Amino acid sequence: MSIVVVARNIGVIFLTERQSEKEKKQKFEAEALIHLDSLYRTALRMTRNDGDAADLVQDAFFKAYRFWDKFEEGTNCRAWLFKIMTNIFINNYRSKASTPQTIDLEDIDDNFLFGQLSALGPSEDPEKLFFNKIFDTDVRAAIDKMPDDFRLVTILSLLEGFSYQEIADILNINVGTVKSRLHRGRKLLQKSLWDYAVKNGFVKDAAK
Amino acid sequence: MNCKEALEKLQEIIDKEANDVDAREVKEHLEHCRECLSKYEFEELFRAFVIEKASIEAKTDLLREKILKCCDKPERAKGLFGSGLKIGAILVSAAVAIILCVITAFTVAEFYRHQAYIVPFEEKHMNSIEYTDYSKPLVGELLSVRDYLNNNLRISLTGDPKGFRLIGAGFSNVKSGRFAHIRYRKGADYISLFISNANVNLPDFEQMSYYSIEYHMHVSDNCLVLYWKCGNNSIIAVSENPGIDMTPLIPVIKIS
Repeated sequence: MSIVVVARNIGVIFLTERQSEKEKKQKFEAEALIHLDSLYRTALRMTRNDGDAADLVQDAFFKAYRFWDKFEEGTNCRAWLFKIMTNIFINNYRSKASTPQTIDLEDIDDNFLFGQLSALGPSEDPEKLFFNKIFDTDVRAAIDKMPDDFRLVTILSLLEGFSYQEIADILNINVGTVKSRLHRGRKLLQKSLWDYAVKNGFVKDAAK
Repeated sequence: MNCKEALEKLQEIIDKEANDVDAREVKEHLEHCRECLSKYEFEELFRAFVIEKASIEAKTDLLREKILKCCDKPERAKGLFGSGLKIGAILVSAAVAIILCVITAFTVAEFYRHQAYIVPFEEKHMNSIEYTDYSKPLVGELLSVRDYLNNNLRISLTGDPKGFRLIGAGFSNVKSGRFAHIRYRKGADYISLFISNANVNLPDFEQMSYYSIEYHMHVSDNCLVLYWKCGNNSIIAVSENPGIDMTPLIPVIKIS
């Protein structure tokens, strides 16, 4: 007798579970999947190739779906998804894409690019002189070349518009570290683009 | 506010992260300081330039389909009602077994949670989003570290030092070069092992950054350092508490 009751109750549990599974999927599609574009763009920048980016994004969404119950409705879903994806990236994908290098940032001034372009002449228009000559692909390549730590915060802040605090939560570092990496990342990017412009003859290096 | 202070706030102001007081003070400074104003305007320009050039379009229709498809769970309940009773009994005992496992897992997780120094390393930890403590060294590169040691340096680690447990491996950048970095733990004692074929300056280890975290370790304060060279390779063992016996490390490192 009691086994029949148990079986019937289990049947009921399964029925309600199927219903809530459907609700879960609808909610997930409405709240999480809308961020797909943003996540995929970032995955492309993190992994630097299409195949890995697609895998990374899928892994992130599958994990998000599995842990959907842990997500507090109404809180920042986009940041939550980015945190999941960044963790997966750091744990599983980064060793494939990493560029370990010791970077010496000591000899790059703050406002480096401003200084370099000013030295070329006080009346020169920086846009004509520099910005208009650099292609999209060159800027993307310069970002790709950045070491992972700097690249990650630069992508999240500049290109995805997250606040310092959100970035700190996503990467599990403190806000001071975020600011410091953004600052150093900007210096690096300016130096990298400047070197590129010098190498290709767009500008003459005043120091030389 | 003087120029130095105004320029320190530049990044925050441009990223719209500065507080109201700072924003006001900088604005006042820029009203009468043309030099700082030009720098501010330039950096705004640079930021906009990078954003514009670096934006990419993403084609995500196929991806969207794939993700939705895999979120679908197949129908389960049909087969169940067919052979109801027997399956019911099996399910109940399975449920009991699962509950017991969950209790054990919670106990183990509690145990690990209180030990804040444990760095998740095993495969099962890597898939869990609870374990994200990056305040301690890097996780999950044991395979690449082992490859680097075996292929580039012809060194292998024959096991864990007696009494110690491997808790993490990664690569660290020091001024002299790139080091394979392996971390062991015994209770509250930690040892870091650095191996490389770079030329070593021991003072370089006074300030190191691990691959993704700033972590300052002062080698001179009460830490024991063992250092030995074999051929081109340097091996450095650093204890993070005074008085740890590091001799168990020695038989573990095998040089071919």
